[in-house]
Parts: sequence; structure tokens; C-alpha cells
Amino acid sequence: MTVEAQAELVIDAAGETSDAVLSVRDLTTTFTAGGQRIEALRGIDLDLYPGRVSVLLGESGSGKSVTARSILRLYGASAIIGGSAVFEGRDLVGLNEKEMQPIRGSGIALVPQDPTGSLDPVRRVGAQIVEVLRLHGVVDSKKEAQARAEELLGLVGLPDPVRAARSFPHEMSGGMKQRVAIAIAICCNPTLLIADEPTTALDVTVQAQILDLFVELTSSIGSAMLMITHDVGVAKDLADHVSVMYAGRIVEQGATSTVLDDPVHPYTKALLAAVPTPDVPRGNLIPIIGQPPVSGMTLPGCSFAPRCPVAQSSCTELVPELVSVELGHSVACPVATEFGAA
Amino acid sequence: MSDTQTTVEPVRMGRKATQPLLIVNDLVKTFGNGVKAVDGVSFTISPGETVGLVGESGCGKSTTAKLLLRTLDPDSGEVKFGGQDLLGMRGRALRRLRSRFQIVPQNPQTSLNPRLPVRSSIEFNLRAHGVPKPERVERIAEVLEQVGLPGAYGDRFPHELSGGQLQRAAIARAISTRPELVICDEAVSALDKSIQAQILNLLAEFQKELGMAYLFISHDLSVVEHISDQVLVMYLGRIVEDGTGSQLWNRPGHPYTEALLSAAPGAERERIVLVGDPPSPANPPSGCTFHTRCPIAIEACSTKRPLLKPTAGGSHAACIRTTDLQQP
Repeated sequence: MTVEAQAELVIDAAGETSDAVLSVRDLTTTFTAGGQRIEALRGIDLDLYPGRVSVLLGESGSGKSVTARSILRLYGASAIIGGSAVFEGRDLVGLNEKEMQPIRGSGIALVPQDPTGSLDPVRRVGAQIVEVLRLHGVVDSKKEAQARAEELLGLVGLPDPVRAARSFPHEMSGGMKQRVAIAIAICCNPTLLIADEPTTALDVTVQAQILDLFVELTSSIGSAMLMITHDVGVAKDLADHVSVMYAGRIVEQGATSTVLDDPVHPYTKALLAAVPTPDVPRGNLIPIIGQPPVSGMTLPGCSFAPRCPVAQSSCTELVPELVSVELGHSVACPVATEFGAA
Repeated sequence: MSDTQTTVEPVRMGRKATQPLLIVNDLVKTFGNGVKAVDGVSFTISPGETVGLVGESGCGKSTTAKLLLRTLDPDSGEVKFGGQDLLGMRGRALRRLRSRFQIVPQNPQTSLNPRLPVRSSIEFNLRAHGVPKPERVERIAEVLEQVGLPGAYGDRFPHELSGGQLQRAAIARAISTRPELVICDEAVSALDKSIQAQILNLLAEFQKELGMAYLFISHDLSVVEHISDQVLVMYLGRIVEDGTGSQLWNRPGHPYTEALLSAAPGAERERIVLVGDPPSPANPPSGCTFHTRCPIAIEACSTKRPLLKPTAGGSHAACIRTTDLQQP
């Protein structure tokens, strides 16, 4: 079934039964800082399916991480969240902290960007996995938890799991720590795994190992995966489905091959053109002019219009909606869809 | 060109000199904790040339930069800048020479004084190099315009500028003394791709206009390949391959270069996944330091340190197995 057909099925079923693990509809997140309203997310639609990798691609400040944290409800009272995020039949947006807590870790797990900051520096990594297993009641005894922790450390590719379990984070390299963070994330067999720039802090040869591990895990445990990245290459290598974000909105969405090989939205096109490749002579890169909008500043109409090479006067008036250009490929740009893919 | 057997290629940009601007010969730096950060590095930079230095964290790229800037002193080796022995210099002579080589650091948020307007940070550099006051004001306006910042931005503080604007300010400071060599240490790594392209174009433009040479340090091979005339690949303190970007790209002569190229996300190459992490530079493997992770290593690799030798692809690689590399 195509993505679009699946998405329609979700809408038809109105959240009762669907294939999607998580269905996000019109998700908005607003922060208030110093009396100023900052609209970080302005209506996100997203469907995640088991065994498939979906990538949120965008530059810093586009709202990728806010999307993940809003789904996990990590902002508490500091943010106003609107819309819906239906996970296993329950709308996460309506849940309180007590109802949310059991879902985090066992239903939806997060692999953070920086493993050094997310692991407890003064506890052995084995004990940190045991803690999560016991907290979610996945195991009956401490002994079983210990054995399971070692099994998990082996599963994520650490060469000597018994020794690794007895190690402190500072005794491990960045790649090893990220493997531990992945072991913690998958220890309760989550139905959805969210990875927020999980390889940005790693060297490129180690990054290749970790990305391979993700591909292996999503197919072996069959969980859905939402990967957040700024790196077009990572998206190309890993994703089944890509959503390109700009200034708190999704501007283009679809199967990886269509979006990244045959982009329609001017921002996606510009983003791909800005990446240096061997064929572009020095000094001839095509940058995107200007700066991304400052967070909190809400522009009327399309946020990309001030930097857009094909913008027309109408672009600053109306907020463009995601419109389907072909099966499973939507674009939020009336100019491009009218002339490009009509 | 870093090897003694090869001849130095003469200059590209319009300077009269055919002598290299910078000659680095057998540079060695071992830290107190036994970490051999730089282990016999040699290369040259000609006027107006860009030399890229690529490698993963801990390979000694930044230490090499610090040794060249004399913020660290090497254990042994030789560095000549414009014909003068850089390592023997101190005091006023060194300060005077320093105005001719500048650095654009990785993180402009921490390298520009947060409590000074950008203008003062640039002026500080000019004053340190003895530029008289009236000329300083003129020069600041000139460099701000050159990097594409409106003059009024000079009065702004670092926190009032975006990442890309800050990096422009850092570049303005570096080029304000009209240097002949600018060391860019991961200068675009912290920037978004769309802004990164702006800065890379800017650097290329300056080189054309002002004839500066760059030592461009980065972990990102695609960026280095794009901007450099000559690329040096470093692994555990040593240069393992030295060639032009297209030589390395089309036909790498060292298995590490090949793995690095294939590991880059989105690279349309057969992925060579290296086993494990790079070994600790405090206790590097014997012989070729890459042999512990090398997919084509043989026994001899663990005993003898390989020297840079010409390869079939036209580059120079420190690998005795270079002829056995699978080539497209």
C-alpha cells in the first residue's frame, strides 16, 4: 500500500483502527517567552508505520526536535500543544503526566543526540539499562534484568557485553556510548523509536556503523522509526519516507526517492543544491540567500517566500497547504505545483 | 608533494613567488600523557593555494593547526613561513609574522568576545598588529563590506548575530590584517548547509581577489574536496594520503581514504564499514597505524611504517597494499 493510501485509511478510520503506529494531525506547539508567543510548530501532519523509517529533514530551528519532544510531551507546562497525536488509539496531546510516563520508554523511546549528556556519568551502563527494565516491569527479577542488559549490549554490537555492562560511560568511546543509548531505547521493545540526530556527534566511519545498526534493528524488531536529521545524505541512506521542514511546517513530504531525487518545493531543491559535490567547481555553490526566519517571528504567508527564487507577490499573503502532486507526494507551494507538476 | 621524492608544484595565483609559502617538515608533537598527536607530518602550501586537511576526531588536525600558529610548540620538526624559520622565532618578530597568518576558528560564538561589539574584536586584532587608528577604522569598514555584513552590524554584539553572520565576522577579523595564509579550523562545520554554501563561496571569492592561501581543516570530505587544490588525509597523527580532490575521489590510493569516502552518508559508493573505533593515539598500533581496522591488511603491515609513495590514481599514499585496492 502506498503512503498516501495508508494515510487516507487512517483519516477514514478516524483513529479507531489503522496501520499507523502514530498519527499526528495539525500538531502545533507554542512557547511563551518574555510575553512573546513563539510558534515553533504550525501544523504538522505525520504518519509512522511499523518497520519503516521516516525522516524529518531540516536545518536548525526548523522545528524537527520540537516535533519529537512535543509527541513525547517533554515540555510540560512551558508549551501549549494543539492538534492531535494518536498513538495506539490514545491521543497523547490530551494525556496528563501520570498517563504519559508509562508510554515513554516502553511505547515510544528516544535515542538522544549526545550520548555523553544522556547517560549517567557515575553509574555503570549495565545498571542504567537494568533501571529502565525494572521501572517498566519488563523483567521479574534483578538477575533476569542483568542478563537481559548484557544480551541487549551484545545486540547493539558491543564486542564484550559482560565487560561493557560493568563499564562507566567515560570508559567508552562516543560510538560505544551511542550503542548503549540505543540499547536503553530498545530495551522495552518500543513500538516507536525516535532518534534525534543520533549520529551528529560521531565520526563519519563510526556514523556508518550506527546507521547500519538502525536499519538492522528496525527490520528485526519491527518498530516504527522517526529519524531527525539535518543531513540529506543520512536521509537518502536510511529513510523510506521524508518530511522536509522549514520554519515549523512541513513543506514537502513523500517517499524518499521522489522527494530527494525529484524535489518540487523550492526549499527542498535549494537545500539539495547547497550541498557540495565533486561536480560543482569551487566558488560556484548555489547558497540559499538570506537567513532563516528568527524563531518567534511569524511571517504572513509562506515562511520561505523572502528567500525563495520563484516567490510571487501572492506568496506573502496565503499560508500554503500541503497539496498532493502525485500519489504519496505532497508539496506546500502553489507556485511550484502549478507550473512544475500540474 | 609532502614527500621528499616529489617536486613542489609551482603557484597558481598571480604572485611572483614560486617558493612555497609554508613548508612543514617532519613535525612531531607528543603530549605529556603519551598521546602522539602529530607524528611526522610534512607538507607545503604555495601562495594562493588551498590545502585541505581531513580526518576524524583525534587524528591530529587541530594540533597541527596549533603547532603552525605557535600556540603549541612541537617536539621536533621544521616550519618555514615565507622563508623564515617559524619555530625559532619569539617575541616581537613572531608577533610581526603572525599578522601574515590568521585563523578562522570553528565556533565563532566562543571565539569572538561576547562583551565587545564585533567592530572592537576586529580592531583588537588590527591594533595588535600595529595598524594606526585612522587606518583601523577604514579597514574595519572595508572588511565588513567584503564579507557581506552591513556596516551597522559592526556595532552589534556577538549574541545579536546569527551563526552565519558570526562566521562572517570571524572571517572579517581574520582577513583584516591582509594575511597570506588563513587557517580555517572546521570553519563551516557548525553551520547549516544553506549558510555553509554562502561561506564556502565567500572564501573562494576572497582567494580569487586577494590571493590568500588556505589550510582548510575539516572532517567533512565533501567540503574539503570542494574547496581544496590539494587534500591531505590524516589518520592517527600521520598523513596517509596526499593528492588532488579529484584524484582521491576518483581513485583513492589508501584504504582509509576509500573507507572515509564510502562512509559519507549519501555517498553512492559501495559502503566499506570499518570495524571498531580508531585506536587511542596514546598507544598507536605498530607499523601502519591503520592495519588494525584495514580490510586488506597483511602481516607485513604491522611491522613497517609505510612511506608516502605514488599511486596509480596520481596521488601519494602511505600503503604497501595500494595496488590491491579494488578500483571502480
